[in-house]
Amino acid sequence: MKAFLLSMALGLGVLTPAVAAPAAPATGDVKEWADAKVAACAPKPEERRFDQTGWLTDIRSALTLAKEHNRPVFLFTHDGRMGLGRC
Amino acid sequence: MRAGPLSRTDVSETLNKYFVPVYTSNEDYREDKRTGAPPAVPPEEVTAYQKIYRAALDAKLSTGTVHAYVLSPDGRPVDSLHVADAARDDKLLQMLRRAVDRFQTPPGETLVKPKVQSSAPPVPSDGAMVLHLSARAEGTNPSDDSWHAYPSEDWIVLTRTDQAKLLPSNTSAVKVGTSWEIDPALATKVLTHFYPQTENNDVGKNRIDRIALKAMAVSVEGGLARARLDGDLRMCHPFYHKHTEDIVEAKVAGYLEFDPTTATVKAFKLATDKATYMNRGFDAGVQNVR
Repeated sequence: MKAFLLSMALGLGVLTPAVAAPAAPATGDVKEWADAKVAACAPKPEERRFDQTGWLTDIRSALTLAKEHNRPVFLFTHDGRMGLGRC
Repeated sequence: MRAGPLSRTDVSETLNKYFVPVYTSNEDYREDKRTGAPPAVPPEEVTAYQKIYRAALDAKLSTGTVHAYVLSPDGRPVDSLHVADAARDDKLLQMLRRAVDRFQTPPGETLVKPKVQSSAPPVPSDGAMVLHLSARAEGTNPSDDSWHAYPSEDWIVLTRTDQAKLLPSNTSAVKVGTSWEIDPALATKVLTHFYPQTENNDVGKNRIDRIALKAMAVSVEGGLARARLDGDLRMCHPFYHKHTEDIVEAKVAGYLEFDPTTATVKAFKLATDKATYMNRGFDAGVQNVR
């Protein structure tokens, strides 16, 4: 992780742009530009593989289902909001 | 974990066929230290978690706040992994397969239909507007097994009062070229989320050094006015939870559409034109979804 932060600080490495988009027009209407830029920022299908699992987000519902279906529970506890990619 | 095993197809298939998968956010299970607000989940849910945690300790399993557990069908913890171990190689998959062998669990249908995990929060039906934001650092792609595998998202709710602050005082007098400044507090409510993927996501720790968001009408026709938005942000957002001077510098642009007669906001979009965080480029875009 230290190496990662150091590379960030030094701007090392070849990075693909966050979003390949032209700069906003200097004047006038920017609707077309903003529509495209906002769309380009949004998650793509291949970035939502986490959503392929049938998750629950409360323990009591999981315990109830586990008992009903005689299945083990997988529980992952974390800081932040994994569903949002903010963790 | 989302950037690692929890996005792997073999792990997902195993969870769906043999398990009841659940994830929880620790913030929802404890009192907010800053505001004193009680846990967001009901007390019974907190008790359920604490019972598992204590049982794991009693069973001499590894425990922690960021942790993976396997529970028996009757709710007893039988296996666990610290996140650092769970994210390594096939450790998580191996733990899952041990449980399937132990309980002789037959494969079955997914018990809960998979769905997009990022969804709009419930909002009152009083005209509140929901904004969806996506942010991605340079180099974001699923093959990155660290912070930049996936973009980050946020949901922001603008009340009717908030929406009114986007507009000029006399909307019916707006003409092409009319300009006004957006209330800085409202600009902050949106722009405080303009940062890429980081471990710390407590925007209460952000420090706004400079913020401005200006609007200028570029068209008024057919009962709809459109204003161009231009903004500028300098903000400290610590990468980790401890304070560090990690700076966002961003120029943003977008537009706002509203009915000048009723002073009702119809559309709002804003995106980074040029932005850096810790000297690395990133982009963020936000739009109203309802």
